[in-house]
Amino acid sequence: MSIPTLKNLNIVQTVVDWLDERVPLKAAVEFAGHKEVPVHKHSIWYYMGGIAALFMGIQFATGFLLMFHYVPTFEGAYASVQAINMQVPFGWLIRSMHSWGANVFILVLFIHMFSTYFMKAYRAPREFTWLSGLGLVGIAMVFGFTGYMLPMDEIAYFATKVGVDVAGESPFIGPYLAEFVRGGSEIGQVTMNRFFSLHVIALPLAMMGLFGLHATLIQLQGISEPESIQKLPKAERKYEKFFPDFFKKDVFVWFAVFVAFMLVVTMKPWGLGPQVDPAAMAPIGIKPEWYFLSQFQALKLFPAKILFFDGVHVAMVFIGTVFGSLAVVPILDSTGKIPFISKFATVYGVIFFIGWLFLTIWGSL
Amino acid sequence: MTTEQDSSKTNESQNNPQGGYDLDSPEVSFGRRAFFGGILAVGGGLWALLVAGTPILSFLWPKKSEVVTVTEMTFEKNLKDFPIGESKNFMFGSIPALLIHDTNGKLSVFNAKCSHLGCTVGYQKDKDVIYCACHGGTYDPNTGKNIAGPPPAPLKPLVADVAADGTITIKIA
Repeated sequence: MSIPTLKNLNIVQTVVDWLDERVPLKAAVEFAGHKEVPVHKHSIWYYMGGIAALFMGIQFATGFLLMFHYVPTFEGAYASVQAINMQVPFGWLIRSMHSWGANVFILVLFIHMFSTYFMKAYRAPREFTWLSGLGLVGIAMVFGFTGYMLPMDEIAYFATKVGVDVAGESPFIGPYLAEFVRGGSEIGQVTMNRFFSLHVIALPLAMMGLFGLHATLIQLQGISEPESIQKLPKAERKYEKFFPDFFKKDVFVWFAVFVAFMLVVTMKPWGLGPQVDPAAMAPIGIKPEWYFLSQFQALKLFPAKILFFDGVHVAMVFIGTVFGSLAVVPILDSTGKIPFISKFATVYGVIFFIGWLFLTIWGSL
Repeated sequence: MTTEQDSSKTNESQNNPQGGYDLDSPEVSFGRRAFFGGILAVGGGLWALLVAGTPILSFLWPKKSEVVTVTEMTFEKNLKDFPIGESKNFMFGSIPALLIHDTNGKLSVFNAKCSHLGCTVGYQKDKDVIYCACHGGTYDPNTGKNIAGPPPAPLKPLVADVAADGTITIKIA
């Protein structure tokens, strides 16, 4: 770097050059520019991952803020959330953003997951991108489960009871697992400590790590094109640079989604159910959050006994297999060269989606 | 019949006419190095898992809870104030319990933990059943037997004794 004289001093350029010698800025921008986004009629689905990342950011930021007022004790949690909602200036806004944000985050993840599934973006060499994404959906659901215990209202208590007891029905290790998760034989302060430290330390770290892998793989391998576009002659396929071209549109979409989100957050602020009374019966009509409704409905449908087995065990095997298949079917179809399997994967996806939607709607009635 | 093993032996003896292993040959030393490296990696990994895992698991493992086990308690109401059809959810020590003055005029009392997935059940007077709102389990209010929905077993019974003055005492069965 030549030493600038007063005459040719360009401060911005000097600072950039100085930084670039120490931090490879230009190389990073160039690396970001390597990724190209295909432009075609299905391109709208490419925004979903970015929107999900936006909501991940919203969750981290609002969660961090909530911790300044939330009290993670069995006795004090409810009152502290009530205070956040009623007394802390703009507490209602931050909490409403966090609770709504959790739901929208999971909704966007589902849309992102189903759209990449049907565009068959999981095919080689992107199997790990698919699996890491699936892992992120799983982590988001555990985030939801641990999170909605924290306010200690009625639904918090019974959802936790059911969730832990489901784990307790696992073969062999079930009772130990339930005892371990609960930290004892009943839900109490120890359970709360466990859920809280998972929710604010372990899960965020796991999510950031897995998201890092997911995003790096996409950057390295580029964005997948659906088969119908791959078949087109080269001249008819259009691309744009991710950075800065697509990124500018991404920012616009984030802005639009954020405005719509804030409209809902402020017009319908998230409430708080009645405080839990461990002696009282589960309230009539109690339901989990919408993203657990399909499992909830399935648990209701299985009878007490199926042949020699407890219905709840059969239900768990069923639910586990169905959700586990999302990791298996795409891998079977990873080459995309076997027409039968390719067709099967599509049909399976359609059946899965309709079944999931049907149980979710039924569960909500 | 020439198996892969046979052909590799032939190769070795060609490399080393005196027989035995030529320890200086790069293939052999690589093989040995990889072998010991592998053992070191697996062994080291297991060791680290044990050394780190034991204290962490022990630290997290729930201690034996010092639950004060209640064996007997006096119910908050006298039988005179608890007519037929009345029911009450209450805590019996650390467990939720349900007392019903059932249609036969008998007092039935149960551990109110649903045998399906542990929600707290309650008495529905209009339908004369014990009902779990979580997944729709239904029990007979006289016997605690599971009669509909997913519960795999009856409710666990407790015992209600009534003294001459109408005082109700709840005991473990």
